[in-house]
Amino acid sequence: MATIQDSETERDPRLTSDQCIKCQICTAYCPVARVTDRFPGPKFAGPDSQRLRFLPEPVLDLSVDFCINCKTCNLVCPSGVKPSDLNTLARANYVAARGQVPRNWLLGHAELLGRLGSAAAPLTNLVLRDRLVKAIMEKVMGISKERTFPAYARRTFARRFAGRKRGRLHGAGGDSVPSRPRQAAKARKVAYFAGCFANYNDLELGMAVVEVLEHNGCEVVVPPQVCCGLPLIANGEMAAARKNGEFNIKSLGKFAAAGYDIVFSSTSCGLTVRSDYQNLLGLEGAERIAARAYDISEYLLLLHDEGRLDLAFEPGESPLRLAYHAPCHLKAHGVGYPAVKLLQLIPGVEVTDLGKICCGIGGTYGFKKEKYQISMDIGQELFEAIRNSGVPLVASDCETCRIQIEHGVPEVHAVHPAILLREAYRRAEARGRANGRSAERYSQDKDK
Amino acid sequence: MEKGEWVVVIGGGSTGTGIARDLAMRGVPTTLIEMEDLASGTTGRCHGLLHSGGRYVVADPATARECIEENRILRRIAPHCIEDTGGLFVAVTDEDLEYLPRFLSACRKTGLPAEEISVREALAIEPHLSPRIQAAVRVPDASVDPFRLAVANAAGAREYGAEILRHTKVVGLVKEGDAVAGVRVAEEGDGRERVIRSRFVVNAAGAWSGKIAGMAGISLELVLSKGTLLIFNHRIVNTVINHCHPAGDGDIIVPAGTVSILGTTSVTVPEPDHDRYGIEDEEIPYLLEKGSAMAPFVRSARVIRAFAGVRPLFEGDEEGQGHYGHGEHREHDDRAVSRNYVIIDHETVHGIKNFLTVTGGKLTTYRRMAEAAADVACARLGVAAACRTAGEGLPGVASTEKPRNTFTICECEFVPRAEIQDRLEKLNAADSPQPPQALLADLRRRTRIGMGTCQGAYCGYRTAGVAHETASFSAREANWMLAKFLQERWKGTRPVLWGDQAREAALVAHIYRGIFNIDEKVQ
Repeated sequence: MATIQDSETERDPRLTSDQCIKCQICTAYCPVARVTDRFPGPKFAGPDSQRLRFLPEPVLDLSVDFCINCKTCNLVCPSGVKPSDLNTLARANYVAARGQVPRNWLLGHAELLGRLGSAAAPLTNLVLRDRLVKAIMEKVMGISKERTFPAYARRTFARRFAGRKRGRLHGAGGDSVPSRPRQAAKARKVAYFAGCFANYNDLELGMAVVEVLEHNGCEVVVPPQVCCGLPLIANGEMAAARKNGEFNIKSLGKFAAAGYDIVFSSTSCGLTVRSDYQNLLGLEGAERIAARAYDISEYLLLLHDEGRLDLAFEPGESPLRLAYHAPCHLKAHGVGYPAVKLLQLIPGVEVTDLGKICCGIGGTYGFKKEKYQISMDIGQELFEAIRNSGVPLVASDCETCRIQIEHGVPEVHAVHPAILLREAYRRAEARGRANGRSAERYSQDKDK
Repeated sequence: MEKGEWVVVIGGGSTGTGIARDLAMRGVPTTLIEMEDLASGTTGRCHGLLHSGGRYVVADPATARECIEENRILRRIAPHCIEDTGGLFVAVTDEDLEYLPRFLSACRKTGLPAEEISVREALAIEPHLSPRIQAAVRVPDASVDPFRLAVANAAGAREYGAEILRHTKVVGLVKEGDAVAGVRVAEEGDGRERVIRSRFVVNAAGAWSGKIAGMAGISLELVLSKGTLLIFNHRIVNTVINHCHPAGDGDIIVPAGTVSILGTTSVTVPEPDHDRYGIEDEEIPYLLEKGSAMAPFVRSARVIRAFAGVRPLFEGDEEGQGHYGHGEHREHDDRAVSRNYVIIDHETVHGIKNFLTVTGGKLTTYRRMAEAAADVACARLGVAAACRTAGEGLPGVASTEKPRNTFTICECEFVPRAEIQDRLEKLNAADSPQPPQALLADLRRRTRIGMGTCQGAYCGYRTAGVAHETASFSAREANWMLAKFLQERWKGTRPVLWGDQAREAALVAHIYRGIFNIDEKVQ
């Protein structure tokens, strides 16, 4: 690669715009540009516009707001440009210059929503599902009435995990670094970053991740953690994101230093901590966390490669055909599709990779009124592929992808791969016990 | 023989368009003749620096005084052509520090507002400045768009009734006895010659003024000094950066629109035509090295193009040949060795009537040169009207509405289709026919198409398509203009083919040769 990579470009991501040769590959791959004219494409909104943003009074163009932040452009660029990062920084500048809109502030502070939502659950869920409330939210806040917020659980995962472990609540803050390893010395130690979704909405996912890891001999702790900051970054709240990042780096850093691997069940949280902390936010100490950070499926596959993954999966009664959708942010991790390989280890499971670019949700993007249709138009290709495959079940590593899939194709269920792995282990245990209860269905688990 | 005008002005650069407007405003019927396009010569091939005068203040205070005076006037009359970037003189070496007090005291004496600021402040304003700079002085330099300035002057001249003939070349002077009585011109397209009679001819052909004077049998002592400049892909600085030392090579960086320009070199060349001289390989690293003393980042920043212009420097015998500028002492008594402009009334100096040459000078002082030349011409014509160009603003050029939904033709420079079409109509409706092969270059000077990162990769074929679709250009002509345009873009890219720009050029070559099958054989 003949691009000039000097210390300056490494320090300032905006300077990667100089490396763009206008090949338009990013525009060809951009899921948004292909369905709407409101976003001119990553090249135009990114490196092209960046030249105007170097002016002392930069041109503020709101079109960057239509970037879905999938990071596909970063991935496909043959020249090392990060158009998505340029857009994100431009959006933050826009917000800084023109002020934040309440809707985006709220969606950015998704964790606050989670905290309030679970405190008032199940009332929150009833309210948020009410058609009138939705209509008002669309009118007043600009949150699409077509969308339903994921249901909030009454207890958080952190509390349930602490309660399960010690029979008592262990502060809201999570685990501290144990003074002495509880397991054998050679056991892998995992600090699990559950993320807001597993913590406030899908507790079963959090529990499944812990169960699968522990089943394979890992010692699992849940460090004190706050929202990774991705919704804040995506909504231009860089200062707040930086604050969250600093908290997490400090907290996770202690575990990393004590030899813990950091494992994420949300691809997007993982990507934020692994890459954005360093590249976008320039946070100190981020590289130490990044060096030990893994997506859960990536981690389990690593155990498998080391011959440490328990392969005694028990197949279900009938062969399970399922489709797999790879989230954009998983692709951005650059680790392949580890979940597909893992699921294929379960006897009787037949996995089809749907091979589509983007589901269209983009985290909070698809919840915004003016972007709802764009979001659904992007997802159309994926929805059709799912319908054509005729499967009842879609596996995907990202929570908002799963929300979008179930929204676009209501007749299918979407699950995290870890849920399916836990099922297979549980079936094996049940059979081992001979008199064990029949395997729970994932959907029941999920609805708890 | 066609209509007799009072004055023919030769040359469509800043000086010629300035003179045409000045004369037209005084009520003198004027025809301007330009062999290529407005600002296609030296005017469009410079830094685009609106001098504060700081560059000349020590060696040539009179010129510096003119610069600061004109700087103030142009900010008033042409705000749409000027970006008030401000300027910094930065001292890097110990020698620069020794020069600094002389510089500051000369600024004070000349009345040039110069304010020393701390190095820390300078680095905060311009983070790419060398951390090794030792002192910084703020001056009222600015960045001026020379294309826009010339086009605005021509438009202003036209408003007052002047005729602007582009792509029309003067091939001879009409002489009657010892007087010049008009010009013989050839149109660029078919080469058809005709005579334009006039009572007076002003030679404002800049680097070509020696050739024009030669048509009257006059030999002018012009030194043609080529200056090479580099264009960076983005604004590596937002302030004009000058190396605080006696004027030298590669010591100015000017932010200009989306880009920054570093220059220049100074090499004597025998010919003014820009397709006759080249850019030497060694000039490029030389400029980068010189520039990196002020801002080390220039070594790694992407260079998208090199270009060169030829300054006409008058080194004739001052006593015999004419008189220099400098306002009040405009007569023969100014003996200072100056790089200022010169006005030669050929009746006084060579005994040839109705003929005047104005040459030398610089973009910043174009209006004053125009005023001085028009004064002499008016005196010879018996016109008493005084110059009004210092008080009346230039017509706006950016009148094109940019509707949001129009297709963007040039994505690097954000040129929408509506703007291209608007400009295209104006060029076609101009006084002289628009040669198809020059269309894209002429549009480039007016809209900035092809001047960005990709140097015409996408806007080239798109604009040719628009020309074919909306104007009367045939497919063959569209191909022709495209090939010409690409060839001209390539000329400036070739000297800077390394790193990202080499990759860019490879892509452009693949698009045009691989997909469109256009290469140099198309003509």
